[in-house]
Amino acid sequence: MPFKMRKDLGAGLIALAIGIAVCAISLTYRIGTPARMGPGLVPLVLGVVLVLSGIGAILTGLRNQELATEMRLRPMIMVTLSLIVFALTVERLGFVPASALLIVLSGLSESPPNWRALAILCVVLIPAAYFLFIVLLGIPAPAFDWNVR
Amino acid sequence: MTVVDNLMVGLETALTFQNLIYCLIGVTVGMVVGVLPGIGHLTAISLLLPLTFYAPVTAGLVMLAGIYYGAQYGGSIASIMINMPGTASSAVICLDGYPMTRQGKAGTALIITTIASFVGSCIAILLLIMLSPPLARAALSFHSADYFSMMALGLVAAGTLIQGSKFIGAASVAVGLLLGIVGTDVSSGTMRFTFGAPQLFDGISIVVIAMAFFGVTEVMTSIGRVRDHALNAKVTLRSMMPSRKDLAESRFPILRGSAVGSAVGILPGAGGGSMAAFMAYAVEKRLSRTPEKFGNGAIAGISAPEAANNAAAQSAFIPTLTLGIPGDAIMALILGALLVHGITPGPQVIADSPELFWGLAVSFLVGNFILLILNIPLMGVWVRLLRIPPTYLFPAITLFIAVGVYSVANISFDVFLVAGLGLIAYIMVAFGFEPAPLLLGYVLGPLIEENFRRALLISRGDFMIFVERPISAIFLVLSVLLVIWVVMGSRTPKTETKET
Repeated sequence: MPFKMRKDLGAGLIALAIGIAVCAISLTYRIGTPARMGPGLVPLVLGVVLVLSGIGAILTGLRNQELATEMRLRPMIMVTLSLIVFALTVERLGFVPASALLIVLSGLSESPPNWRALAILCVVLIPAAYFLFIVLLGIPAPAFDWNVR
Repeated sequence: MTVVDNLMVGLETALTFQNLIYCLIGVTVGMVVGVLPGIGHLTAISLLLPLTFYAPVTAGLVMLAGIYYGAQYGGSIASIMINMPGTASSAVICLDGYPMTRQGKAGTALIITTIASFVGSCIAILLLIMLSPPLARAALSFHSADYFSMMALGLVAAGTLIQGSKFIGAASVAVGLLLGIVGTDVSSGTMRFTFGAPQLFDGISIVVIAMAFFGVTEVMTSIGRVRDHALNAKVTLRSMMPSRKDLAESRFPILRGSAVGSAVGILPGAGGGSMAAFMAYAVEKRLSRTPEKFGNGAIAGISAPEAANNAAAQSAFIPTLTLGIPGDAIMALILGALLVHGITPGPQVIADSPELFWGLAVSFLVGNFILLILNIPLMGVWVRLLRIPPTYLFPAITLFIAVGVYSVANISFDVFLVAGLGLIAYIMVAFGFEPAPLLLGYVLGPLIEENFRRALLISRGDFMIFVERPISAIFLVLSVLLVIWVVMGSRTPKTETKET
């Protein structure tokens, strides 16, 4: 399910929004003087740069009709979800279930999902990743666990 | 120390068993990701970045660098065989490489690009060895004002020498700089942009930023989209024997390409390999007595750009290692890896850790020899890699992102962060934000702020210090000229060469 928007206009609005937020937050820090700069000065300057470049991009965007690169909703949701689920489960259920969930969820980005490929990946990749990261590099994560609170 | 002494130090470091193994892993991984369309070297280096934290700094850098130049070798294979660049910098190779395949000369094209890669790399490595010590010595006298202006030039170049809107380029750099200053402010102890999350007090890890902008976005862009490609031509060892005529026709293009590539690679922010390749192609076409052959399988059309992108991949290390100024996103990652290992990049690196610098330089030579040896007898294997269905690739990369990010501090918080930032990054990139200048800003952010503050502290708040110091003034004038040049509507070199 792809969707499209105007490129420069959208980018300008993003920059403007970030810029305003950054300026607002920077003003809560001490600004200081050039000789004794506070922690707020540099972020404030960058916030102003973002606001100005955002306005610039919006102005060019009013004339430039070019569309943003097509965004693909399904991979956006599934890949993000797979990472979140991994983060939620790796310490609660263990490395193996978390990895399997991640592979299957990210594989659902494809329609229709290639179940055979995902099954092969789970069987081959998870032991390999377990060996590399947990046995070899010593990351403290259990293979299986059950700490659901 | 003479050059010979230095090289001996380098040889001793590069030829230890450990460093040789890391070099071999690096170039092999580089070849594989170079060949496979859909994952670029930036993605590969981002994915392997956390692994280098477990290795000694020299070994880690030897591996990261190996991925980079290994991918330059591999990238042209996909361009030649299936008309799809394996990495961005081999896009030009498609123009004449694929026509050669259709004429049944795939083997010749592959061997010529391998030779061109090797020669281009070696010339640039020699330049690295000769140029770096004097450059570093000169840079030792730099003050904080000079550093500030030099980094400013790098950022201005990165933000303006892009193809899309310059406003968005500037915004990309600013967002990167802001991501870089998240965390505890060194001079006041204030927590900036941490939103009360203690996991952010030390800042956002470079692994999270790199994985979000070069890992997650790549997966979201390509998953379920990169399709299998018809791979028709077969490559045998016999077909790879270049004729005397082919070699004679490529000799000067390779040398000219190496020169163009070495020069472009040194320039900060110039965009590295792809721009070098495009420029070398344009030069050859202009010099050629038979320009109509270009696009129809001209051998100079593959040898010059291939030499150029490999030369640029090596010479890009010159400013990174001597001045601490990365020229492109990959060099920013290398710099980030140095910082994680507690080494402040800058001119003192060569003097303080000679085994790191010279070991790395010699490992480049070793790595290029390995690539030459890997390439010629094993070309058939690399070509067969193109048959791997992409379905298997992207879930595997996603797993690598999750585990790699988790491994940095063993906290799930970072995985949540990469999920959120990755989604934001994908949307921003779709609207034209540039990930490469952003990463450059992220790495340089803390350094540039520190030098800015220190310079103004020394001058007691007088901004004239940036103009009064001649070195700083030169960099600032160059930055201003660059902005004027871009604003005046002159086209960037990138688009200019693409049209020729």
